Amino acid sequence: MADLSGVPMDELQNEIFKMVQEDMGKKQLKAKDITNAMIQKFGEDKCSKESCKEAIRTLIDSGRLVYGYFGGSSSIQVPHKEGSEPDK
Amino acid sequence: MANETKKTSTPLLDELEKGKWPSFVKEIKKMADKNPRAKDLLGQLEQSYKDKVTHWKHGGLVGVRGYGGGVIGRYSDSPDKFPNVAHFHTIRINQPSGWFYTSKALREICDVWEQHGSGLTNMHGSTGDLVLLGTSTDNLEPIFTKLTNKGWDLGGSGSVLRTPSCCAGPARCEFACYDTLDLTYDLTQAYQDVLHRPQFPYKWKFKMSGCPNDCVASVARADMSIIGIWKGDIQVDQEAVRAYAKSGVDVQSEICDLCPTKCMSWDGKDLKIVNKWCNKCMHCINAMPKALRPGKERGAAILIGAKAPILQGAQMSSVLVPFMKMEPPYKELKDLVEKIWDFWGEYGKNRERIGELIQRVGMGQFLEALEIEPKPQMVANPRTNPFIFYEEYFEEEGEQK
Repeated sequence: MADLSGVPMDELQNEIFKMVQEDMGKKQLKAKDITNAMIQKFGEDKCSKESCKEAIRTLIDSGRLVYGYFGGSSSIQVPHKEGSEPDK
Repeated sequence: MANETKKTSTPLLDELEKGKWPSFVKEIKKMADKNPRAKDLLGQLEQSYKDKVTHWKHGGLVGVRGYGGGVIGRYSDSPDKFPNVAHFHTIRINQPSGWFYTSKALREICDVWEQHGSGLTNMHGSTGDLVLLGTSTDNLEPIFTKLTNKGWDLGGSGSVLRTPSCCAGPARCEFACYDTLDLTYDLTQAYQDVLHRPQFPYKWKFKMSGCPNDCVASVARADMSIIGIWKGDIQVDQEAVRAYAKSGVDVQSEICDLCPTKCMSWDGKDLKIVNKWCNKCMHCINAMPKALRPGKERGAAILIGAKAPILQGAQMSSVLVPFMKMEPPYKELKDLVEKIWDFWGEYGKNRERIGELIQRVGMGQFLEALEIEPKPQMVANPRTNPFIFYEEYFEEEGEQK
Protein backbone atom coordinates (compact mmCIF):
# COMPACT_ATOMS: atom_id res chain seq x y z
CA MET A 1 0.00 0.00 0.00
CA ALA A 2 1.68 3.19 -1.14
CA ASP A 3 1.41 6.39 0.82
CA LEU A 4 0.87 9.61 -1.13
CA SER A 5 3.58 11.44 0.78
CA GLY A 6 6.23 8.93 -0.26
CA VAL A 7 6.87 6.52 2.59
CA PRO A 8 4.96 3.26 2.11
CA MET A 9 2.38 2.88 4.88
CA ASP A 10 3.73 -0.53 5.94
CA GLU A 11 7.20 0.88 6.34
CA LEU A 12 5.91 3.85 8.32
CA GLN A 13 3.93 1.57 10.62
CA ASN A 14 6.93 -0.65 11.20
CA GLU A 15 9.13 2.34 12.00
CA ILE A 16 6.58 3.66 14.46
CA PHE A 17 6.23 0.26 16.09
CA LYS A 18 10.02 -0.03 16.36
CA MET A 19 10.29 3.40 17.94
CA VAL A 20 7.61 2.67 20.54
CA GLN A 21 9.15 -0.71 21.29
CA GLU A 22 12.63 0.75 21.75
CA ASP A 23 11.36 3.48 24.08
CA MET A 24 9.29 1.12 26.23
CA GLY A 25 9.99 1.73 29.89
CA LYS A 26 12.12 4.79 29.10
CA LYS A 27 9.72 7.31 27.64
CA GLN A 28 5.96 7.78 27.53
CA LEU A 29 5.52 8.55 23.85
CA LYS A 30 2.61 10.62 22.63
CA ALA A 31 1.26 10.74 19.08
CA LYS A 32 2.96 14.12 18.67
CA ASP A 33 6.41 12.75 19.67
CA ILE A 34 6.05 9.91 17.19
CA THR A 35 4.87 12.18 14.39
CA ASN A 36 7.72 14.63 14.92
CA ALA A 37 10.27 11.80 14.98
CA MET A 38 8.92 10.24 11.77
CA ILE A 39 8.87 13.57 9.93
CA GLN A 40 12.43 14.17 11.05
CA LYS A 41 13.46 10.71 9.94
CA PHE A 42 11.84 10.66 6.52
CA GLY A 43 11.67 14.36 5.76
CA GLU A 44 8.65 16.63 5.41
CA ASP A 45 8.37 15.93 1.69
CA LYS A 46 7.95 12.20 2.23
CA CYS A 47 6.12 11.97 5.52
CA SER A 48 3.22 14.10 6.73
CA LYS A 49 1.25 14.53 9.95
CA GLU A 50 -1.74 12.94 8.21
CA SER A 51 0.15 9.82 7.15
CA CYS A 52 1.54 9.40 10.68
CA LYS A 53 -1.95 9.81 12.10
CA GLU A 54 -3.25 7.14 9.75
CA ALA A 55 -0.36 4.79 10.57
CA ILE A 56 -0.92 5.19 14.32
CA ARG A 57 -4.64 4.62 13.89
CA THR A 58 -4.01 1.38 11.97
CA LEU A 59 -1.52 0.17 14.57
CA ILE A 60 -3.97 0.88 17.38
CA ASP A 61 -6.96 -0.64 15.58
CA SER A 62 -4.98 -3.79 14.82
CA GLY A 63 -3.91 -4.09 18.46
CA ARG A 64 -0.16 -3.95 17.71
CA LEU A 65 0.00 -0.79 19.79
CA VAL A 66 -2.29 0.40 22.57
CA TYR A 67 -3.02 3.61 24.40
CA GLY A 68 -1.83 3.78 28.00
CA TYR A 69 -3.11 6.17 30.62
CA PHE A 70 -1.71 7.62 33.79
CA GLY A 71 -2.64 10.69 35.80
CA GLY A 72 -4.90 12.16 33.16
CA SER A 73 -2.31 11.82 30.43
CA SER A 74 -2.09 9.27 27.60
CA SER A 75 0.75 7.59 25.77
CA ILE A 76 1.22 4.98 23.06
CA GLN A 77 2.68 1.68 24.14
CA VAL A 78 3.32 -1.90 23.07
CA PRO A 79 0.74 -4.19 24.75
CA HIS A 80 2.20 -5.77 27.85
CA LYS A 81 1.09 -7.10 31.18
CA GLU A 82 0.95 -4.22 33.56
CA GLY A 83 2.99 -4.21 36.72
CA SER A 84 -0.03 -3.02 38.66
CA GLU A 85 -2.27 -5.79 37.37
CA PRO A 86 -2.64 -8.61 39.86
CA ASP A 87 -1.86 -12.19 38.82
CA LYS A 88 -4.99 -14.15 38.10
CA MET B 1 -14.16 -13.52 40.58
CA ALA B 2 -14.82 -14.93 44.00
CA ASN B 3 -18.52 -14.70 44.63
CA GLU B 4 -18.52 -14.82 48.38
CA THR B 5 -16.58 -12.62 50.72
CA LYS B 6 -16.71 -12.42 54.46
CA LYS B 7 -19.09 -9.85 55.85
CA THR B 8 -16.93 -6.83 56.41
CA SER B 9 -16.97 -4.85 59.58
CA THR B 10 -16.70 -1.12 58.90
CA PRO B 11 -16.72 0.95 62.09
CA LEU B 12 -14.89 3.89 60.52
CA LEU B 13 -17.09 4.03 57.44
CA ASP B 14 -20.17 3.74 59.64
CA GLU B 15 -19.32 7.18 61.02
CA LEU B 16 -19.95 8.58 57.54
CA GLU B 17 -23.56 7.41 57.67
CA LYS B 18 -24.35 9.66 60.61
CA GLY B 19 -25.83 13.10 60.09
CA LYS B 20 -28.55 14.52 57.92
CA TRP B 21 -26.70 14.58 54.65
CA PRO B 22 -26.62 11.86 51.99
CA SER B 23 -24.00 9.20 52.56
CA PHE B 24 -22.04 7.38 49.87
CA VAL B 25 -21.37 4.64 52.42
CA LYS B 26 -25.09 4.06 52.83
CA GLU B 27 -25.46 3.73 49.06
CA ILE B 28 -22.53 1.32 48.71
CA LYS B 29 -23.94 -0.79 51.55
CA LYS B 30 -27.27 -1.05 49.73
CA MET B 31 -25.48 -2.43 46.69
CA ALA B 32 -23.17 -4.62 48.82
CA ASP B 33 -26.12 -6.88 49.68
CA LYS B 34 -26.40 -7.77 45.98
CA ASN B 35 -22.94 -7.29 44.53
CA PRO B 36 -19.68 -8.76 45.85
CA ARG B 37 -17.64 -5.96 44.25
CA ALA B 38 -19.49 -3.37 46.32
CA LYS B 39 -18.94 -5.50 49.43
CA ASP B 40 -15.18 -5.72 48.91
CA LEU B 41 -15.10 -2.03 48.07
CA LEU B 42 -16.39 -1.29 51.56
CA GLY B 43 -13.77 -3.61 53.03
CA GLN B 44 -10.90 -1.99 51.15
CA LEU B 45 -12.13 1.52 51.92
CA GLU B 46 -12.34 0.71 55.63
CA GLN B 47 -8.79 -0.65 55.38
CA SER B 48 -7.65 2.61 53.76
CA TYR B 49 -9.23 4.68 56.51
CA LYS B 50 -7.50 2.48 59.09
CA ASP B 51 -4.10 2.59 57.38
CA LYS B 52 -4.50 6.23 56.28
CA VAL B 53 -3.25 5.31 52.84
CA THR B 54 -5.00 4.48 49.58
CA HIS B 55 -4.99 0.86 48.48
CA TRP B 56 -5.70 1.70 44.84
CA LYS B 57 -3.18 1.57 42.02
CA HIS B 58 -4.14 3.87 39.19
CA GLY B 59 -3.73 3.94 35.43
CA GLY B 60 -2.51 1.44 32.89
CA LEU B 61 -3.39 0.02 29.54
CA VAL B 62 -7.01 -0.90 30.02
CA GLY B 63 -9.51 0.27 27.45
CA VAL B 64 -11.52 -0.99 24.56
CA ARG B 65 -10.07 -1.72 21.14
CA GLY B 66 -9.38 1.43 19.12
CA TYR B 67 -10.23 3.84 21.94
CA GLY B 68 -7.66 5.73 23.98
CA GLY B 69 -10.15 7.19 26.41
CA GLY B 70 -13.23 6.39 28.41
CA VAL B 71 -11.77 3.78 30.75
CA ILE B 72 -9.60 4.56 33.77
CA GLY B 73 -7.68 1.59 35.07
CA ARG B 74 -7.70 0.91 38.78
CA TYR B 75 -6.35 -2.08 40.70
CA SER B 76 -6.29 -3.05 44.34
CA ASP B 77 -2.90 -3.44 46.00
CA SER B 78 -4.46 -6.08 48.26
CA PRO B 79 -6.11 -8.47 45.78
CA ASP B 80 -5.74 -11.44 48.10
CA LYS B 81 -7.68 -9.71 50.82
CA PHE B 82 -10.26 -8.12 48.53
CA PRO B 83 -10.44 -10.36 45.42
CA ASN B 84 -13.63 -8.83 44.05
CA VAL B 85 -11.99 -5.44 43.64
CA ALA B 86 -8.66 -6.73 42.33
CA HIS B 87 -9.69 -4.83 39.17
CA PHE B 88 -11.96 -1.86 39.74
CA HIS B 89 -11.89 0.13 36.51
CA THR B 90 -13.99 3.22 35.92
CA ILE B 91 -15.95 3.71 32.72
CA ARG B 92 -16.99 7.14 31.50
CA ILE B 93 -20.12 7.35 29.38
CA ASN B 94 -20.70 10.36 27.16
CA GLN B 95 -23.72 12.06 28.73
CA PRO B 96 -26.48 13.58 26.62
CA SER B 97 -26.36 17.38 26.24
CA GLY B 98 -27.76 19.05 29.34
CA TRP B 99 -28.02 15.66 31.16
CA PHE B 100 -31.52 14.89 29.90
CA TYR B 101 -32.33 11.17 30.16
CA THR B 102 -35.41 9.09 29.82
CA SER B 103 -36.01 6.66 32.67
CA LYS B 104 -35.86 3.86 30.06
CA ALA B 105 -32.34 4.91 29.04
CA LEU B 106 -31.18 4.97 32.65
CA ARG B 107 -32.65 1.53 33.28
CA GLU B 108 -30.79 0.16 30.25
CA ILE B 109 -27.49 1.48 31.54
CA CYS B 110 -28.14 0.19 35.05
CA ASP B 111 -29.06 -3.27 33.75
CA VAL B 112 -25.79 -3.54 31.82
CA TRP B 113 -23.87 -2.22 34.78
CA GLU B 114 -25.43 -4.54 37.35
CA GLN B 115 -24.60 -7.48 35.09
CA HIS B 116 -20.99 -6.51 34.35
CA GLY B 117 -19.90 -4.12 37.09
CA SER B 118 -20.31 -3.11 40.69
CA GLY B 119 -23.70 -1.49 40.13
CA LEU B 120 -22.28 1.76 41.54
CA THR B 121 -22.49 4.94 39.50
CA ASN B 122 -21.49 8.55 39.84
CA MET B 123 -24.09 10.89 38.40
CA HIS B 124 -22.08 12.76 37.19
CA GLY B 125 -18.30 13.17 37.17
CA SER B 126 -16.92 16.70 37.27
CA THR B 127 -16.34 16.75 33.51
CA GLY B 128 -19.96 15.77 33.03
CA ASP B 129 -19.77 12.11 32.06
CA LEU B 130 -22.01 9.48 33.52
CA VAL B 131 -19.49 7.44 35.48
CA LEU B 132 -19.70 3.69 36.10
CA LEU B 133 -17.47 2.70 39.01
CA GLY B 134 -15.77 -0.66 39.20
CA THR B 135 -15.42 -3.50 36.75
CA SER B 136 -12.75 -5.93 35.60
CA THR B 137 -10.73 -5.91 32.38
CA ASP B 138 -12.55 -8.91 30.88
CA ASN B 139 -15.88 -7.10 31.23
CA LEU B 140 -14.86 -3.97 29.33
CA GLU B 141 -15.53 -5.14 25.77
CA PRO B 142 -18.91 -6.74 26.62
CA ILE B 143 -20.01 -3.55 28.39
CA PHE B 144 -18.85 -1.41 25.49
CA THR B 145 -20.66 -3.61 22.94
CA LYS B 146 -23.90 -3.61 24.91
CA LEU B 147 -23.85 0.14 25.50
CA THR B 148 -22.96 1.07 21.92
CA ASN B 149 -25.74 -1.22 20.66
CA LYS B 150 -28.11 0.95 22.65
CA GLY B 151 -26.67 4.17 21.22
CA TRP B 152 -24.26 5.14 23.99
CA ASP B 153 -20.58 5.92 23.58
CA LEU B 154 -17.62 6.25 25.90
CA GLY B 155 -16.54 9.67 27.11
CA GLY B 156 -13.05 11.09 27.19
CA SER B 157 -10.08 10.43 29.47
CA GLY B 158 -6.38 11.08 29.06
CA SER B 159 -4.89 13.50 26.54
CA VAL B 160 -8.06 13.89 24.53
CA LEU B 161 -10.95 16.22 24.03
CA ARG B 162 -12.89 15.51 27.21
CA THR B 163 -16.61 14.98 26.84
CA PRO B 164 -18.08 18.41 26.07
CA SER B 165 -20.74 19.51 28.54
CA CYS B 166 -23.28 22.30 28.81
CA CYS B 167 -25.99 23.84 30.93
CA ALA B 168 -29.67 23.06 30.32
CA GLY B 169 -29.71 26.05 27.97
CA PRO B 170 -32.81 26.96 26.02
CA ALA B 171 -34.41 23.64 27.02
CA ARG B 172 -35.25 25.06 30.42
CA CYS B 173 -33.83 28.55 30.74
CA GLU B 174 -35.09 31.81 29.31
CA PHE B 175 -31.70 33.50 29.71
CA ALA B 176 -29.89 31.23 27.20
CA CYS B 177 -28.23 33.42 24.59
CA TYR B 178 -27.53 30.49 22.26
CA ASP B 179 -28.42 26.82 21.90
CA THR B 180 -25.89 25.22 24.25
CA LEU B 181 -27.37 21.75 23.72
CA ASP B 182 -26.99 21.90 19.97
CA LEU B 183 -23.44 23.24 20.10
CA THR B 184 -22.42 20.54 22.59
CA TYR B 185 -23.86 17.81 20.38
CA ASP B 186 -22.31 19.35 17.27
CA LEU B 187 -18.82 19.60 18.77
CA THR B 188 -19.08 16.07 20.19
CA GLN B 189 -19.91 14.69 16.75
CA ALA B 190 -17.46 16.87 14.84
CA TYR B 191 -14.50 15.97 17.06
CA GLN B 192 -15.06 12.23 17.63
CA ASP B 193 -11.52 11.46 16.52
CA VAL B 194 -9.81 13.68 19.10
CA LEU B 195 -12.33 12.56 21.73
CA HIS B 196 -11.39 8.91 21.41
CA ARG B 197 -7.78 8.99 20.17
CA PRO B 198 -5.31 10.90 22.33
CA GLN B 199 -3.50 13.45 20.14
CA PHE B 200 -3.10 16.42 22.47
CA PRO B 201 -0.33 17.36 24.91
CA TYR B 202 -2.91 16.99 27.71
CA LYS B 203 -6.65 17.24 28.28
CA TRP B 204 -8.92 19.80 26.60
CA LYS B 205 -12.33 20.72 27.99
CA PHE B 206 -15.15 22.61 26.31
CA LYS B 207 -17.96 23.86 28.48
CA MET B 208 -20.96 25.67 27.11
CA SER B 209 -22.94 28.10 29.27
CA GLY B 210 -25.98 29.81 27.86
CA CYS B 211 -25.52 33.08 29.75
CA PRO B 212 -23.04 34.79 32.08
CA ASN B 213 -24.59 33.02 35.10
CA ASP B 214 -22.33 30.21 33.85
CA CYS B 215 -24.21 27.34 35.49
CA VAL B 216 -21.59 24.80 34.37
CA ALA B 217 -18.80 26.91 35.91
CA SER B 218 -16.97 26.93 32.61
CA VAL B 219 -14.95 29.99 33.56
CA ALA B 220 -13.28 27.99 36.31
CA ARG B 221 -12.87 24.63 34.64
CA ALA B 222 -12.84 24.66 30.86
CA ASP B 223 -9.89 25.16 28.57
CA MET B 224 -12.39 26.85 26.31
CA SER B 225 -15.44 28.41 27.95
CA ILE B 226 -18.22 29.37 25.55
CA ILE B 227 -20.48 31.70 27.50
CA GLY B 228 -23.67 33.16 26.11
CA ILE B 229 -23.76 36.93 25.98
CA TRP B 230 -25.63 39.75 24.24
CA LYS B 231 -24.79 42.96 22.47
CA GLY B 232 -26.76 46.13 22.91
CA ASP B 233 -29.29 47.07 25.54
CA ILE B 234 -30.85 44.95 28.27
CA GLN B 235 -34.56 44.63 27.48
CA VAL B 236 -36.59 46.41 30.16
CA ASP B 237 -40.31 46.17 30.85
CA GLN B 238 -40.85 49.26 33.02
CA GLU B 239 -44.34 48.13 34.05
CA ALA B 240 -42.92 44.89 35.38
CA VAL B 241 -40.17 46.79 37.26
CA ARG B 242 -42.85 48.91 38.93
CA ALA B 243 -44.75 45.71 39.78
CA TYR B 244 -41.62 44.31 41.48
CA ALA B 245 -41.29 47.56 43.46
CA LYS B 246 -44.95 47.39 44.45
CA SER B 247 -44.60 43.80 45.62
CA GLY B 248 -41.81 44.77 48.02
CA VAL B 249 -38.56 44.69 46.05
CA ASP B 250 -36.39 47.66 47.03
CA VAL B 251 -35.15 48.41 43.52
CA GLN B 252 -32.65 50.99 44.73
CA SER B 253 -30.89 48.91 47.38
CA GLU B 254 -31.44 45.41 46.00
CA ILE B 255 -30.80 46.13 42.34
CA CYS B 256 -29.10 49.49 41.65
CA ASP B 257 -26.80 49.54 44.68
CA LEU B 258 -25.66 45.96 44.04
CA CYS B 259 -24.80 46.61 40.39
CA PRO B 260 -20.99 46.26 40.20
CA THR B 261 -20.62 48.97 37.56
CA LYS B 262 -23.36 51.24 39.00
CA CYS B 263 -24.86 51.47 35.55
CA MET B 264 -28.48 51.77 36.67
CA SER B 265 -30.63 54.24 38.49
CA TRP B 266 -34.21 54.15 39.82
CA ASP B 267 -36.36 57.22 40.37
CA GLY B 268 -39.34 55.33 41.78
CA LYS B 269 -40.96 55.19 38.35
CA ASP B 270 -38.43 54.12 35.73
CA LEU B 271 -35.29 52.02 35.78
CA LYS B 272 -32.62 53.64 33.65
CA ILE B 273 -29.59 51.67 32.46
CA VAL B 274 -26.39 53.02 30.95
CA ASN B 275 -25.84 49.91 28.88
CA LYS B 276 -22.32 50.76 27.78
CA TRP B 277 -21.21 50.48 31.42
CA CYS B 278 -22.91 47.12 31.95
CA ASN B 279 -20.46 44.23 32.43
CA LYS B 280 -23.17 41.58 32.03
CA CYS B 281 -22.99 40.31 35.61
CA MET B 282 -26.64 39.17 35.40
CA HIS B 283 -27.52 40.41 38.91
CA CYS B 284 -30.42 42.64 37.85
CA ILE B 285 -31.77 40.09 35.37
CA ASN B 286 -31.63 37.30 37.96
CA ALA B 287 -33.34 39.48 40.56
CA MET B 288 -36.15 40.69 38.30
CA PRO B 289 -36.52 38.05 35.56
CA LYS B 290 -40.03 39.20 34.63
CA ALA B 291 -38.85 42.77 34.05
CA LEU B 292 -35.40 42.39 32.51
CA ARG B 293 -34.06 40.22 29.72
CA PRO B 294 -30.72 39.94 27.92
CA GLY B 295 -30.43 42.10 24.80
CA LYS B 296 -31.78 40.95 21.46
CA GLU B 297 -28.50 40.46 19.58
CA ARG B 298 -27.18 37.29 21.14
CA GLY B 299 -24.13 35.09 20.77
CA ALA B 300 -21.26 33.95 22.97
CA ALA B 301 -17.99 35.15 24.44
CA ILE B 302 -15.10 32.74 24.00
CA LEU B 303 -12.79 32.47 26.97
CA ILE B 304 -9.62 30.46 27.18
CA GLY B 305 -7.35 28.78 29.68
CA ALA B 306 -9.17 27.73 32.85
CA LYS B 307 -8.05 24.69 34.77
CA ALA B 308 -8.20 23.07 38.19
CA PRO B 309 -5.02 22.82 40.26
CA ILE B 310 -3.48 19.54 39.08
CA LEU B 311 0.08 20.27 38.00
CA GLN B 312 0.10 24.01 38.63
CA GLY B 313 -2.37 26.24 40.48
CA ALA B 314 -5.96 26.83 39.49
CA GLN B 315 -6.59 29.34 36.75
CA MET B 316 -9.71 31.14 35.54
CA SER B 317 -10.27 31.57 31.84
CA SER B 318 -9.88 34.95 30.20
CA VAL B 319 -11.61 36.55 27.23
CA LEU B 320 -10.30 35.59 23.81
CA VAL B 321 -13.21 36.63 21.60
CA PRO B 322 -15.64 39.08 23.24
CA PHE B 323 -18.55 38.22 20.96
CA MET B 324 -19.16 35.56 18.35
CA LYS B 325 -22.44 34.62 16.69
CA MET B 326 -23.19 31.05 17.73
CA GLU B 327 -25.19 29.45 14.96
CA PRO B 328 -24.85 26.17 13.06
CA PRO B 329 -22.59 25.01 11.51
CA TYR B 330 -20.36 26.96 13.96
CA LYS B 331 -17.63 27.37 11.36
CA GLU B 332 -16.04 30.45 12.90
CA LEU B 333 -15.76 28.69 16.25
CA LYS B 334 -14.38 25.48 14.78
CA ASP B 335 -11.77 27.37 12.73
CA LEU B 336 -10.62 29.12 15.89
CA VAL B 337 -10.53 25.89 17.89
CA GLU B 338 -8.49 24.07 15.26
CA LYS B 339 -6.03 26.96 15.03
CA ILE B 340 -5.54 26.84 18.81
CA TRP B 341 -5.10 23.06 18.75
CA ASP B 342 -2.43 23.40 16.07
CA PHE B 343 -0.57 25.98 18.15
CA TRP B 344 -0.89 23.89 21.30
CA GLY B 345 0.19 20.71 19.47
CA GLU B 346 3.23 22.51 18.11
CA TYR B 347 4.41 24.32 21.23
CA GLY B 348 2.70 22.63 24.18
CA LYS B 349 4.86 20.56 26.50
CA ASN B 350 3.77 17.16 27.70
CA ARG B 351 0.96 17.60 30.27
CA GLU B 352 0.70 21.33 29.65
CA ARG B 353 -2.82 22.76 29.47
CA ILE B 354 -3.52 25.56 27.00
CA GLY B 355 -3.81 28.08 29.87
CA GLU B 356 -0.35 27.15 31.11
CA LEU B 357 1.08 27.42 27.61
CA ILE B 358 -0.42 30.91 27.21
CA GLN B 359 1.03 31.88 30.56
CA ARG B 360 4.44 30.55 29.50
CA VAL B 361 4.63 32.18 26.07
CA GLY B 362 2.56 35.25 26.93
CA MET B 363 -0.89 36.27 25.74
CA GLY B 364 0.68 38.64 23.19
CA GLN B 365 2.55 35.84 21.43
CA PHE B 366 -0.52 33.64 21.54
CA LEU B 367 -2.77 36.28 19.99
CA GLU B 368 -0.19 37.02 17.33
CA ALA B 369 0.11 33.34 16.41
CA LEU B 370 -3.66 33.10 16.13
CA GLU B 371 -3.86 36.39 14.24
CA ILE B 372 -6.37 37.78 16.72
CA GLU B 373 -6.45 41.54 17.35
CA PRO B 374 -6.14 42.52 21.02
CA LYS B 375 -9.40 43.89 22.39
CA PRO B 376 -10.16 45.89 25.54
CA GLN B 377 -12.38 43.08 26.83
CA MET B 378 -9.30 40.85 27.10
CA VAL B 379 -7.92 43.05 29.86
CA ALA B 380 -8.86 41.51 33.18
CA ASN B 381 -7.16 44.16 35.33
CA PRO B 382 -5.47 47.51 34.78
CA ARG B 383 -1.77 46.85 34.36
CA THR B 384 0.37 47.13 37.44
CA ASN B 385 3.66 46.59 35.62
CA PRO B 386 4.82 49.69 33.71
CA PHE B 387 7.52 47.69 31.91
CA ILE B 388 5.22 46.48 29.19
CA PHE B 389 5.98 47.76 25.73
CA TYR B 390 4.05 47.45 22.54
CA GLU B 391 5.35 46.64 19.10
CA GLU B 392 4.44 50.11 17.82
CA TYR B 393 6.58 51.58 20.58
CA PHE B 394 9.61 49.64 19.37
CA GLU B 395 8.89 50.47 15.76
CA GLU B 396 8.65 54.17 16.55
CA GLU B 397 11.82 54.00 18.60
CA GLY B 398 13.58 52.13 15.78
CA GLU B 399 12.42 54.67 13.25
CA GLN B 400 13.67 57.52 15.41
CA LYS B 401 17.06 55.90 15.64
